[in-house]
Amino acid sequence: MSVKKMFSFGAIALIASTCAGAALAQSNFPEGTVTIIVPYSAGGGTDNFVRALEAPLEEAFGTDVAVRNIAGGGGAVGLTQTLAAKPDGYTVTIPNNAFYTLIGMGNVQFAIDDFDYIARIVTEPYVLTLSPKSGHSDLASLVAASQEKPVTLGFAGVGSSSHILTLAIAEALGAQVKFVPYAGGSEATAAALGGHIDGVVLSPSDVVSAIEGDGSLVPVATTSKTSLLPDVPTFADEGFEVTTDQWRGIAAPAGVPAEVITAWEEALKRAVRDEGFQTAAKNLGVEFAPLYGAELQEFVKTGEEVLLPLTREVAGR
Amino acid sequence: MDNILEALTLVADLRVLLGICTGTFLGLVMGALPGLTAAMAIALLIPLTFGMGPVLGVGMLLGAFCGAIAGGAVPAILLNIPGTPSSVTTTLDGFPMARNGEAGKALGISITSSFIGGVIGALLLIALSLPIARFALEFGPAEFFALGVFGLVIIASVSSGSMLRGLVAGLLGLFLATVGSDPMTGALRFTGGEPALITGIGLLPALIGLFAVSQVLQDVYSRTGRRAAEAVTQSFDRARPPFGLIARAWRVVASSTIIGVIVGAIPGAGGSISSFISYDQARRMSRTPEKFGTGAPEGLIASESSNNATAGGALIPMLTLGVPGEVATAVLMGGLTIQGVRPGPALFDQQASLVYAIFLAFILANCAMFLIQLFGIRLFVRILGVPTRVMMPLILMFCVIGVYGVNGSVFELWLMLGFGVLGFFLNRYGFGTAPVILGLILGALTESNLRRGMTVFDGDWTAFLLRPISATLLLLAVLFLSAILWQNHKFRQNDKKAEEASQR
Amino acid sequence: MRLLSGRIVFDLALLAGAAWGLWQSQSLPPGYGGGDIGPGDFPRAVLVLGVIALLAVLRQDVSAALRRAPDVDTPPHLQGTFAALLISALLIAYVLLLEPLGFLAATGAFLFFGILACSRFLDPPDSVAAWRRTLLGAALVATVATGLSFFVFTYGFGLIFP
Repeated sequence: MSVKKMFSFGAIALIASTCAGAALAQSNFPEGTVTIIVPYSAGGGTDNFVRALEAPLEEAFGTDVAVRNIAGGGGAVGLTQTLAAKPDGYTVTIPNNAFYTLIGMGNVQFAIDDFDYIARIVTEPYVLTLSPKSGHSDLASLVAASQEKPVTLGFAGVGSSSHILTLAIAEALGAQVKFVPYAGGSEATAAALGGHIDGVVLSPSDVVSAIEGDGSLVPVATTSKTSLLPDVPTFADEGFEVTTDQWRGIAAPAGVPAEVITAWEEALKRAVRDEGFQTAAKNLGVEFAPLYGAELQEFVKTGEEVLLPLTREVAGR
Repeated sequence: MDNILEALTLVADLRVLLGICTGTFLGLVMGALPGLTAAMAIALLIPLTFGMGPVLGVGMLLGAFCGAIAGGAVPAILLNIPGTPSSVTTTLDGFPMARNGEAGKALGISITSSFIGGVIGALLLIALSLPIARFALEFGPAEFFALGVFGLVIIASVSSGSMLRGLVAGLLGLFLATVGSDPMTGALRFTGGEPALITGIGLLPALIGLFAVSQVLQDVYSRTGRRAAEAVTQSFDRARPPFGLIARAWRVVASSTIIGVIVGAIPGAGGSISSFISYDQARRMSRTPEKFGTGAPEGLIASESSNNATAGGALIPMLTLGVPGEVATAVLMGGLTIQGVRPGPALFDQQASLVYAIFLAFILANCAMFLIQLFGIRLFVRILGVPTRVMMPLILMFCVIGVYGVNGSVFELWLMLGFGVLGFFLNRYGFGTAPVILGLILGALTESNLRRGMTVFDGDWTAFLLRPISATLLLLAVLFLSAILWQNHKFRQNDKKAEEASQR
Repeated sequence: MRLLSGRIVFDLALLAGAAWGLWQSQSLPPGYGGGDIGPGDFPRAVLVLGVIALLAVLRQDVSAALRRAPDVDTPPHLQGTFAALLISALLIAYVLLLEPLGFLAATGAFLFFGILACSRFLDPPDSVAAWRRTLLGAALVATVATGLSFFVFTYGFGLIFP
């Protein structure tokens, strides 16, 4: 990576000097380092995903891929910084449900349409998991109990997508719920294990380790099938309409030329076939679910229609 | 038994041993640099472990974890700049010792206490992880709130001079902790429209600004125009590990490691409180509490043995419950997951030998940390030989790299600068900077758990007083506070008497 | 005039900050749900305590200043203030230029001028030859330290700098 990087710096300088403003640069994208901005600190779920993608993507592009962590504001800082970059496909970021929730909470200046969505690569469901001390092990008894005394449900971060999904689940179930925000997934999981709250709505990877052994958590329903929890039914199986999943992909500031997007799609299609990436995705507990083009735009639109109004509801309180 | 033997063969591989040493060394370097914490050290090493086997990768990450926590003590002692949040209390007595020409001795004490704390922490992790994990789970909103209140009493111990001024600094920290999105409703507080502040004021820019930048400004200010005649000769004769001294302070070691392990094991308490609590406890046990803050070895022992014991404690809920104890272990767990190792109760059943290998690697990492640092002491002390005029800009450069490198945010650099200027004046006018950090750490814990508790308990505040753990902690807080006020009162009376006697 | 010591000005600045916080906290939405502790309540309580403690500190400082207590500050010395201001200015320039100029150029320049400034104030060279040596030394240290730290952090730790 090191030597290659120096060469590519040289290459940029050369091209810039010989054919200034070249239209040529776009047809054989990429000619220099591609930067992926991760809007969170190193070590989180999104960061791990990008790090696993980095090497295969470098191979597919034949250039360097630099991963930059620009954290702060629950993603707001990194995303805003991405938008400040030129829409040339050399600077991209990782879209996920935080796009909707940041906008819905009114904490950022940008809108969904300010980005060009290049790909969805993986998805991850949300799972409702109950505390062993809650006395419930299925949806029906939870909902019935909540009519007498509201149940307490925890999630990671106020205004986060797991908060919004908790709200969506409560509405779909028709349950009386008290919402208890925690700073992160591990705090919420620990609180459920200790019986301080009745349940949590988190990613399967947050809770999977805590559902084994004595006095462990009881997963009752997921938003979609996950290989981490193969025996847990989905909400749809149980007759409730909650299907929103977390997702991760690639997005750039709006206005990227079509041929650059095509180059990205091709590179990604090649990169995700990499064995190392597939193993990492499996270990991380995410579902490999690539989506491109019109279907992807449709998916983003649906996410916006479902999550934005719910988030505004939370923000308006 | 078979499992232990199998674990031995897993770890007793030259590559694994080398991996542990490399990880520890890198961790030490990162811990010593302001800005790069244990969590960051692990996160930065994770991509390196992608291609390695689980034992090798885990060993390297555990080494980095141990090393980074211990490494924070070196700049804390030599330069009054804590490398990580948990070494703030190390500066309180370590730096005065170094200024008295006892840098070698201070480093020796800190390294040995780190080692002892780390190993005892590891042994407690192996022997008592289940009961400790059960106890840790008892912590709900009421208990966390009580822990926060208990912690606030410590402000009195870490105030450099006047307790009133320390209180002001602590309240400043508490206030700064409320900046950002409200933990319960998401309403933005005091952000002034800055997106970087939505998640609040980062601990790192505050720490580096208040300690490192302000220290540089202070040095430049006070040394200018005055020939640096005070070049202290450092005595090296005590650079051997002072086991005897530490053995005599066994009560401090015992209380600090226990506090370290338990606080480390409580998910969400945040490991950096443990060194504050241990320091406070050691001061309370001491016959000469007035020496704390002026170079008391016990203070140094308490701080360092507890923050390395915290590492062992933080591994407890991760391995027994599948829930990481604090940020660094959360990142570590992510790293293990990528390796295909999913920490949690099932791991004990399915891959017991791997769990024992993790234990072994953790103990070995502590040994590596001890040996590397022991050989390094003379080298570390050399840092003091670098001329101030070169040192000052270099420190500032490392501060900028540390803050910018982690989150890539220029705003955090401005924050660091602002805290630097604030810290300069706080120190100059006797308010101190350690209480600000304590307030910043405890603020979120106290407020969010108070409000979370009010939600969970349906607005019934008596629940905070009726639960056994929270009641005990609150009672202790009240007791300690009255003891401090009583002592203060007595001191003042004695002062008055002395003054009257001298005037006669 | 005696009352205008840095100490008292700083106390007043902290008080002003607390007042700003109190004013800001008034506009925060009220709480809802159990217990009704709203977003503004905790900071408000902290700030009120802070104002009380600060007033007590201010009282101490004013009376100490009036008594002309000998143990109050060492008088501020101009040269030191100038040196601290210059270092701060250099640091501000460094932060401003970090992204536009890139890590290498900004860091190199900062170290070079930083070492020169610190040499001038902390350990002034006494001859032209000594100045020349200092200049060379600063350039050397700046280059080596910049290069080394860039190398270690980029390739060793995988951090990305502009």
